[in-house]
Amino acid sequence: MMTQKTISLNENSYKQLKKLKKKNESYSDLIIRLCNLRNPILNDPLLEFSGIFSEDEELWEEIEKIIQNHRISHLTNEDIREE
Amino acid sequence: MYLVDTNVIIGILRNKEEFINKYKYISEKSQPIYLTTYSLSEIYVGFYDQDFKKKYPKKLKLQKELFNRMVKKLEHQNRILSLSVDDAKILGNLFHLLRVNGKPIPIIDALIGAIAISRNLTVITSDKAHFNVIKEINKQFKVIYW
Repeated sequence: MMTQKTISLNENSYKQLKKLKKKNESYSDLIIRLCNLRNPILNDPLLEFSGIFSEDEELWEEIEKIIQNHRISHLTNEDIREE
Repeated sequence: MYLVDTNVIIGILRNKEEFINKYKYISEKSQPIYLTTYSLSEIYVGFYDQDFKKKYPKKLKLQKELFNRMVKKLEHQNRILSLSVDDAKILGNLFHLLRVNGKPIPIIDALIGAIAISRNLTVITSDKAHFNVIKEINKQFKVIYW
């Protein structure tokens, strides 16, 4: 069983936390959620979803090639000025 | 603040360690890190490719669902940028300079570059050749190559 620790809060801090606490959320879970919000890495969807394209190397190698080819086939600078 | 290009986004989603480590490092230094709708559209190209859909039907469907969820979260954090009126002014100037200098680059690179210049963001990309052209013609443009 996880060890419990007791912390003291003043009335104002307790009221603030209570306002943020979701239904069925414990104060421990709330504090972890708030800490995660303050931590950009834990709260970053790009990192949260990192690896979703990792399963098939060949597939994404191919898709990256398509993206690259698509990019270089649409260039700026086609001279549109009419003489 | 930073703006990541498509190749960096895919690198992270492909779980490439060098991208993830560098991304974590910059995340601790500067927030938020943005991406553009143009990068998203490039990634969606892969999901709609008929050959891949035939070859990897279940896998692509699942990956698209997960990608959509990620995009929704990024959108909620206001981290997905597209061209504003101010950005368009910078883009117009960039198009002009590219033309008079005779240096064509991919339109998507120009769009990303203009957004970065306009909003004072540093682009992170693997595409050195084309973004170097923007750097040559606009000294305000900042870029890092991974």
